[in-house]
Amino acid sequence: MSKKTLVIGGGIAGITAAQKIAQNGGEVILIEKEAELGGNFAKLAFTFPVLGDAKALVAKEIDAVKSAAGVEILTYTTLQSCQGSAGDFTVELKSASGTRSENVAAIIVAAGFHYMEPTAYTEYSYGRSKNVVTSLEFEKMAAENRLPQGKARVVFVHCVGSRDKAKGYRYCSKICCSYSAKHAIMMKKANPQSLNYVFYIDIRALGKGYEEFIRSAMEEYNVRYIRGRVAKVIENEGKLIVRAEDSLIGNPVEVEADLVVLASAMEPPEGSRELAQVLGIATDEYGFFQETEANVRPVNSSKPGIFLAGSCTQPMEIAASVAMGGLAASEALTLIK
Amino acid sequence: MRLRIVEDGVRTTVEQAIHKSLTACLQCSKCGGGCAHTEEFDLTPRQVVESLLDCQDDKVLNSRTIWLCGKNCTGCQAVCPVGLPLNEINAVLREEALARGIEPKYQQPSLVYHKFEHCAKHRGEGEASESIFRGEA
Repeated sequence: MSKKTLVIGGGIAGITAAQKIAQNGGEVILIEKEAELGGNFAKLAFTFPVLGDAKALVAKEIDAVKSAAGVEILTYTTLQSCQGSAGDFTVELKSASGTRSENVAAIIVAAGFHYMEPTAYTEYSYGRSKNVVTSLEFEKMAAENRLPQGKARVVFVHCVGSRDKAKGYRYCSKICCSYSAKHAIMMKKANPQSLNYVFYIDIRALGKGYEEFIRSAMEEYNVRYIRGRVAKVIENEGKLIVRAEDSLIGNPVEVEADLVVLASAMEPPEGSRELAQVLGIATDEYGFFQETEANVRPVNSSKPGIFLAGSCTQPMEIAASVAMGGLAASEALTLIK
Repeated sequence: MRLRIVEDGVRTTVEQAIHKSLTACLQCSKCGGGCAHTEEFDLTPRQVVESLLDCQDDKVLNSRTIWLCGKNCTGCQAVCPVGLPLNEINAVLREEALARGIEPKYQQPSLVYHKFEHCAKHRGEGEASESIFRGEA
């Protein structure tokens, strides 16, 4: 019987799981559908609540997993089929060069997440104005030194697609409050002349140092927080007009902005339901992979021998993905003894 | 002045009519933020909902907002993330106010308001131009 573990997804959760299994003497096949490892983490410029160099941090982890003994990394590879049960799965992996069959004892699903494209939010002029961007695009702009220059006004919009039963998802994407504060700080650091505004509904900063981080945006970087969900972004002669209600006074307000950044929701990875079907595991109402028990069995899928890690289960930050990757690795190791 | 919060008011009538509890409101205020006629209102849509929840019936039924909001415009309910039917809420409030003998407050909505209310074509232009006028003033 095989002693290998198949890890699906080369983001930080999958990388961590693969590293931990290898460190404990296990063998891993790590498959990634894209060209490179790193997932969404590799698309960021900085981390929070400490402004760490995201690309350097993830590069270090990628190097570690690449040089780990017993880890075979297959990029441009997807799972085609999966038969068998815990301790003895037969999986078919498809890559550009063809398909191959492997026997594995355990499977870890670490398929990551996708940033929602806010195309349904026509009221925010997304797609119509080049100066209305998503948070992911903002990360790219920051990495390429393309942030607005001079006395630019930048508006950050929370909850685009999250907490919106009508147009998006009912859930809270959890990390947007913190990364919007990060973006405002990044903006102010890159351009001290910039004037930064965040429109929020509630501020959810549930992690060690998160509240302090957001407070620092207000106290040290002079970011103005206005309580009210943005209702409209209108483009007018190169400028953007952002309209909302300052709900603490009940007064409609508008801000003329040079750049509007939409904190778009974290949604399940593309094709998550199809992958779940191939594996024979359950997804929740949104398409995230469903755990058997949320509190004490967070990495157990509905099928024994298949474990879950990272943001393919729910919106989560890097630290939580790493923790889940480690737990999933430990569960997988119990099957290869 | 401290407000004593109670539960018995016109909100019950409203909730029965819309088949939804007003406690569903997400309290995000997106409704008032995008309102093109906000200059004409004394209460924002969100303040109408909160005042109803607080059973401030007199305040709501005597407001100008309920006579102006939600008649030829779906701006606020179209963007409501929990789908509260604000047009219907205001319609129920107008009915309730009439039943209580409260005079409609149509007096002096501005010409700008009329223009937007009666012409869908101008409504879009008005929203953009409005802020420019205000910016220059």
